[in-house]
Amino acid sequence: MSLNVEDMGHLIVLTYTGRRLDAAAAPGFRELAREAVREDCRVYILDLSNLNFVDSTGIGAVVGFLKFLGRERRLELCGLSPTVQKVFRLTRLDKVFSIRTTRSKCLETYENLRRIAS
Amino acid sequence: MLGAQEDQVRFSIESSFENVAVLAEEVSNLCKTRARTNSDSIDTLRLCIAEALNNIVEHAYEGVEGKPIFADVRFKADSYEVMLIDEGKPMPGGKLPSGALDFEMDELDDLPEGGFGWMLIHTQMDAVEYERRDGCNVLRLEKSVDG
Repeated sequence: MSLNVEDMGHLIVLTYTGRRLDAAAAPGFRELAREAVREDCRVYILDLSNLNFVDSTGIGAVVGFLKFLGRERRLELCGLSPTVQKVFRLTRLDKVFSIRTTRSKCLETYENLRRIAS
Repeated sequence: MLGAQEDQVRFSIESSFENVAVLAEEVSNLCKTRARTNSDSIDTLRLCIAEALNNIVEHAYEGVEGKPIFADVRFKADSYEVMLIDEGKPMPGGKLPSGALDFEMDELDDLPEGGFGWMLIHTQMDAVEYERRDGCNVLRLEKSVDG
């Protein structure tokens, strides 16, 4: 299945490599996303830029991952195509997730935060 | 004169989530060509058909694969309709689910992981009707062209 995991130490970038995150693909995503979580890593970026279709089961799996991460960890989404973005808007989940345009925007924000903190 | 037959196209699949993707794609591609509608409303149509078909596979057929699902697509002057027909269990209470979904965005634990399907169908289609006919579920989704 289709989740590329890059452990960058202070954060983990998950790139969904599939074109569709739907009822057929959601169970695989659910499992792989959870396996990628490391106990002492608090920031997760989910890059969805390869995605061109998401349905409510797929989006539910992303909500499930957010809940799995819990309050102590952060999840940032990036790379949503207009079609995918629209499904987040229609379900009002665009208000629940932190969504940035690109992966480099996510990384930039966290580099800045780290610099300030150190 | 064009007969009703010529303005209607029937698709059929065997129930599975993989086939749902294929059918939703085929039906929406046909509507894009025939109804000359914009790509934004085609995206919405593809999504709503996928949601309705997922429900058939998951609930009407209770996840059993290989059961028949038909999609009849009809084109009218200013709208098109997609009829989805299956031989599975009727809708709960014999009625269309309302799709009402209320949640608090600040409550992480209360966020719903499902139940968006009917909400999307009801809000994005111009007409949604359900009836049980001869032991089949018949769901009619209508969308006006670029409406």
